[in-house]
Amino acid sequence: METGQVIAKIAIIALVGGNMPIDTTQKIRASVVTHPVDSRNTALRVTFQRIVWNENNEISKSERLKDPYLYQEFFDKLSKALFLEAQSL
Amino acid sequence: MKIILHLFFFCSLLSLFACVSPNQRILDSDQSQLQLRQIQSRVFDTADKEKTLRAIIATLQDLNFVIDKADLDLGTVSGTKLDGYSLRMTVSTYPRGKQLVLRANTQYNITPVTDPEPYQQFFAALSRALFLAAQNVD
Repeated sequence: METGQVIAKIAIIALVGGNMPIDTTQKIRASVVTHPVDSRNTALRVTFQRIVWNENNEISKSERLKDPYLYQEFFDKLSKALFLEAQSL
Repeated sequence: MKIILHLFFFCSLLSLFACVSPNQRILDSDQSQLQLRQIQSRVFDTADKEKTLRAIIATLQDLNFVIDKADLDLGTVSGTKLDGYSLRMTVSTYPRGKQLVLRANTQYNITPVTDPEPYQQFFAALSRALFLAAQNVD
């Protein structure tokens, strides 16, 4: 639920008395594809999408996630996980 | 009274038709099967199934699809693109001599895509990825 939407909803109710549905649920879809580059390296490509439902259970957004930060974060976490796996922790 | 009865009969008949038709006509298509095959299929001069499937995956990802499924044995790749709409595409491959036949199937929201243009664009992008020309199926 986004704070901006809640504020907008309250403002709309106060001003015109109408209703504005708030986003409540989201599903993130991720797909990871790997392929061997050579005997020592593996290339990995990840893609993200999301579907967002509002409080009326209608789909309000369905989109590709483009923010580089998200991808960076994924690869950082994966690097850490691979390191931990290698150390058998 | 008679008119009301007639009207009632007509309305119930109408609702009966409305109930029956979608179930019976669900496998209908508005184009000939052959025409649709030609629109959706291309032949590539390669026998390398894995390389072709990897090129299909990369092309779909370049076109902003997220890969749902990929199967090397069956030679299929499925992906979905979401951008306010849902576009689902499945590409299946099968060998024909020293060549591979590719067939793409697309669905926009709940409607099958039968227009040739999106398929032409997909195969053009795939040709660039494979460095091979897409030929029509004879």
